[in-house]
Amino acid sequence: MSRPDAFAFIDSTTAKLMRAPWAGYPLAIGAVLAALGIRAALEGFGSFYYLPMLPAVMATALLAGRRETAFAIILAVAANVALVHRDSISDTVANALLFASVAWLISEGFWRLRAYRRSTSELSRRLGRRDHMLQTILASVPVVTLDRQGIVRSLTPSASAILAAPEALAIGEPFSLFVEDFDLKAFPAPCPASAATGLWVGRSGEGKKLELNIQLGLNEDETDPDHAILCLTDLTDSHAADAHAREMHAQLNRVWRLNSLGEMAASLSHELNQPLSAAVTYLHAAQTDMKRAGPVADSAGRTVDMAKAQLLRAGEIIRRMRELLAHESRGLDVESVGSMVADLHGVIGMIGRTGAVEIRLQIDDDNDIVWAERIQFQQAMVNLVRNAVEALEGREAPVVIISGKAISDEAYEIRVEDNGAGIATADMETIFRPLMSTKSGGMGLGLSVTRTIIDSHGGVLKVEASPMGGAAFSFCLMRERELVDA
Amino acid sequence: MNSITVLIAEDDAAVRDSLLMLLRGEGLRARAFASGAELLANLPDEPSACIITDVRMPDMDGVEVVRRLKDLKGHAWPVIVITGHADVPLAVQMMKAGVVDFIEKPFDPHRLLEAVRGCLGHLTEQEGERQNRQEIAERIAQLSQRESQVFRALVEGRSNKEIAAELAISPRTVEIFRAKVMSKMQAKSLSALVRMGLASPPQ
Repeated sequence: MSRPDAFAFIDSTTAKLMRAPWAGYPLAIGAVLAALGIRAALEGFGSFYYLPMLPAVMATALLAGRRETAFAIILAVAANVALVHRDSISDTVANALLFASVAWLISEGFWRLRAYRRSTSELSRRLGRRDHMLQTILASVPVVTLDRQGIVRSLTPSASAILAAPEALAIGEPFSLFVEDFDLKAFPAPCPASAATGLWVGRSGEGKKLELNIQLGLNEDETDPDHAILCLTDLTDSHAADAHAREMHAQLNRVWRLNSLGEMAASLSHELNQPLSAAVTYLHAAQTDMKRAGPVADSAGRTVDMAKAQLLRAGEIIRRMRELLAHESRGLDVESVGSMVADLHGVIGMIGRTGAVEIRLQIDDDNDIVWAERIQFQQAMVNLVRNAVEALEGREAPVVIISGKAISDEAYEIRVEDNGAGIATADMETIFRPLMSTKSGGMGLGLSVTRTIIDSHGGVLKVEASPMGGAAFSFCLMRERELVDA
Repeated sequence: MNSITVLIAEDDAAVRDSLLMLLRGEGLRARAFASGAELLANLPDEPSACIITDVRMPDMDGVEVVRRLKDLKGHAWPVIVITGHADVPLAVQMMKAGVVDFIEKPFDPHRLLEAVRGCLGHLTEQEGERQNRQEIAERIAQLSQRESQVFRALVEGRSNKEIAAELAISPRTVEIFRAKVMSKMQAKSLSALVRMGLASPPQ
């Protein structure tokens, strides 16, 4: 505030006078009396009429309102008429009118000035607030400004954090020090309305590789040294998260292929073993009958023996194939449900986005240490979530809730439920059987594989109607309590 | 008359039918049911049946059948499990639950028949013992009160003199009662009589 103190005094006095409306009149009287005093003092140097009164009126106008000023003018005119002898009435009236109008004009000038000053100070206050807000926003946004040569002129704290370069060091350096081959001309010609963006690979002051999205805005003011404004977005972490999700997805896919092959083999072997058993047993019964026919049937009996041996061989082949494809359980380990599910965030997010479904995670991290085979558990979770999302196709406001909490000292329960159409009671048992899909696209292995996984964890996969309206699949894992107590 | 039968729980119709044909061809009495629940509902009161059950069946699986058989009627039923879906944990679980044999499908019928015969032999033995016990109980019931007192005392290993003193009769009278007991119980020797007494303790 480099404003002269006199102005401040005038402002504050004016404000006070405005609040106390009658205080202006004594001021006017005082000012006129003072002017009269001055005039009396100057009497020896010559004759002064109205001129000494002018400062009194101006002072009143400066500090008080129109009424007080008018009052001061009347006082001054009255004093003059009383003190100065005029030859004619017309002279008296003409002088008084001249004084009054000149004094009023000057006062009017003062008031205009005052109103103007008030509006500018209001404007500058508003500007100050805007500026403060902008500074606050900028502090959280990584912004760098460059001059025409690509030299850094300023950078916000968050930009300095991304580039790992202190403000003092970065300013004055070319921006290409941080982002290799950075060139303002490499951006597509920005139209003034919207900024141009581009992806760049940068290197932080600590040598870390950065993946940056840079939004460029060019200053149209040719005289402003801040020529280019760059808004940085650090994509490094989100790219790393994407890569993790992709890796997880690939890993789950591999496990899924093995699991579903194993499930197919198990299912096929069960289905084939039934008719094979029946055939062998029938043949044996036939042999028993043949023996009653005596030695005549001996040769036929031997042939039947050979047929039986071939059927048993088929059974053996199936058994070997199943053993080969059986899911190789690496055994259960002590795991945390929270961490196993956290690994899946990316994949679950991907499934949710594909189906345009909102997926809510409500996993209780307390007492979540359980016995589980990490990747198999994750496979089961993804299967259940994918099923739930697919069941929601075409629904309004589709939601899937994945929840988990310890329900007793021994068990941690996991639930996956949706607000879809649910599962008919009649289908509740058959949905778990392999090759029993109710979906047109599915092989019908998902739930069957999931159940096999849950079985191998010593749990039971249950299905019931969810309070949300759709189906609720749930199962329990065995809690590892000693670790928690320790 | 042999009341021993083979009861089968198997959901696959062809396997069920072929098993019946096999067992009946061997001259055994057999009945088959399409589910575990049906089998349990038709269980005889006496443990006079050998049971063959599948594992993977709708509604009630073989594991559950074995578990319920254990709880039912207080007898240990001889159970043979046949399954087209065998793995080591299941086999261990079944053997622990006390099944007689665990056979993978497709099986060699000889192997199954052997197992069934083993069960039936065991059951016949049990049945024989049971009949024997019943006969002894009938004979004991024919003894008079005094004869019965002498019989129990003999089983407990007392001498004639001790018995005489205890029952306040002469040793000579004890000897007459003892002869009567031996004859009524159809015991050829004192040791045979004691065995009968031990096999049928007083109620």
